[in-house]
Amino acid sequence: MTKPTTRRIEVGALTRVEGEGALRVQVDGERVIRVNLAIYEPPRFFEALLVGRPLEDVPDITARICGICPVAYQNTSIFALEQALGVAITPELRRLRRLLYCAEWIESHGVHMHLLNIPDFFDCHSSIELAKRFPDEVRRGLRLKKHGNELLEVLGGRAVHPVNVTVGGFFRAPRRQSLQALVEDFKWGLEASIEVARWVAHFEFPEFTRPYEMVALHHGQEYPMNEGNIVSTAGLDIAPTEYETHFEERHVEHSTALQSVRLPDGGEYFVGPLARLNLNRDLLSTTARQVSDEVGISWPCFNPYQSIVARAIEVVHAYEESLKLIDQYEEPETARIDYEPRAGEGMAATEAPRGLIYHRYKTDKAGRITFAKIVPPTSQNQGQIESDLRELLPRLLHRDDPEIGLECEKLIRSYDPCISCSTHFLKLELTRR
Amino acid sequence: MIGASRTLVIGIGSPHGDDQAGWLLIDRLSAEAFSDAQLRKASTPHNLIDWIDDCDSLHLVDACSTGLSVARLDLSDGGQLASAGKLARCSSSHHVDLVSVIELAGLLDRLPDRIVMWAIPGESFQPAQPISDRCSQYINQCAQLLARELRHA
Repeated sequence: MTKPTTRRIEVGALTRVEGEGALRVQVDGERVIRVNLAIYEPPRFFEALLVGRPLEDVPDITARICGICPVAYQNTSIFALEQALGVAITPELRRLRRLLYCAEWIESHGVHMHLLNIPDFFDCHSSIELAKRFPDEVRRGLRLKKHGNELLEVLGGRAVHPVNVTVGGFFRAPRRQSLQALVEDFKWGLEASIEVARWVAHFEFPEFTRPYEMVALHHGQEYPMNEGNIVSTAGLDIAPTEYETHFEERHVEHSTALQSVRLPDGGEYFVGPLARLNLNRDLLSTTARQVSDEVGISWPCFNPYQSIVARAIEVVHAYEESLKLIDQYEEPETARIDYEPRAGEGMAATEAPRGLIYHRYKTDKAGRITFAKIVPPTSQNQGQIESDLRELLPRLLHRDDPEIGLECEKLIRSYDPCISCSTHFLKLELTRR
Repeated sequence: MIGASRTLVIGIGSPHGDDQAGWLLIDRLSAEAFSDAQLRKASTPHNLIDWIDDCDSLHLVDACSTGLSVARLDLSDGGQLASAGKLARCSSSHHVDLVSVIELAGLLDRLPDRIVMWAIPGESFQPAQPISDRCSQYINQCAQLLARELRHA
């Protein structure tokens, strides 16, 4: 019998990621010819939608880019617009904004770990299968997610697509007693998140390390969420205003989503919790730092599958920082700083749960948006994911097609891609010659 | 969080076309100020896991892409979960669809005694489009049926 020279593998749709897309692979013997992460979900043209609108509309529209990480989109747009308008907020409002990021990280990381990523480490096809084997752990994870949502409700008016944030601050400052009411749950959550970090750190991780250039924000005094310089493991250290000099989004023929590359060489790079932790471990909260010391990982870590450990440690950090911020909180006299519309330009970079996010806007003198640019984390990771798959696939080609598809999905999920953000994931098509 | 109310109605939706049905249904019921039911809007099905702990009667309202009338499915005994799956096991955010969330909540012993799912047929789910006239009629119909059931609960 003649061995077939061409082989096509198709995974109908990548599951347990946000959005829809396909993976197309062509191999010749043991050689991988082509790996295309093809995002076929139509682009949503958010930037074009913003042009011509009053700047006040921007936070509510950018929040709609993602139901999982609306805070990062809203706030990055707000910070960029505040720069364009010359608005300086008070330290009290800045702390409230960090609390918002903590809430989103707890909620988003909780969902990704327990409903999407942890099933991979036990060969479970869904969170339902995982819940049959580990009901207490899944119940615990969902409780963490709930805490994040409850804090988002207090700060943002509602858990999904918050409505209480605006350029200049908040429409209404939260009541101290509303935040205090969360303290006991958050103390429980801090202890529970430590147990989650210890649990996930002892999963069996594939041997897969690469010489990534990891990119994240770095702020001298605090773990990066809402502010900082953009730094990398290759020595980059720039202000967000220089982002477009060092990074560029490019269209690739096989995908409706833009892919970001490093300039000038066009290489890929890695953003997300693992990048943040590698570049900022000394800025973790005390308990999170202790947990990172004790989990048995040698930092910096360059195994993308161990992103889940970084994610879990960040949840510990987010709980601890939340408790501190809630304890310090006094209702501010002013919830929002006034501003006058003016022609200007502003850019900002913050850390969404799944990585660095960058926005730039121009306004006219009436405060209308004349230009908008939004670079989500997933578009920055896409090139890196393709590169990783090119490295991984030769190790898998002896397996049957469905198994290859599953292993590719596991690697992709470790990045927590949000294709809705980048525009959306996975159908695997493998052609063998 | 649920106060004294033990009945929870969750409308699942988005701002896009007839996918707004669940949210508009909640608006309609809010206008009637039911004191004995907590009304909530959800964007993603897994939100409901956060809210169901303290209720003993749960109504879930969502748009569906098939059907010619409002469908009411009693999922309390799990008997119609398969039927619900045909309506609601769809491509959803993170592929955690409504029926999967109900199954997950059941496995974790977090389901109330009574669960009713209302499915409102929609025609178009395109981004930023208004609700269709036909879907609006179905929402009115569903609101009347659900209000009657809540009043007689």
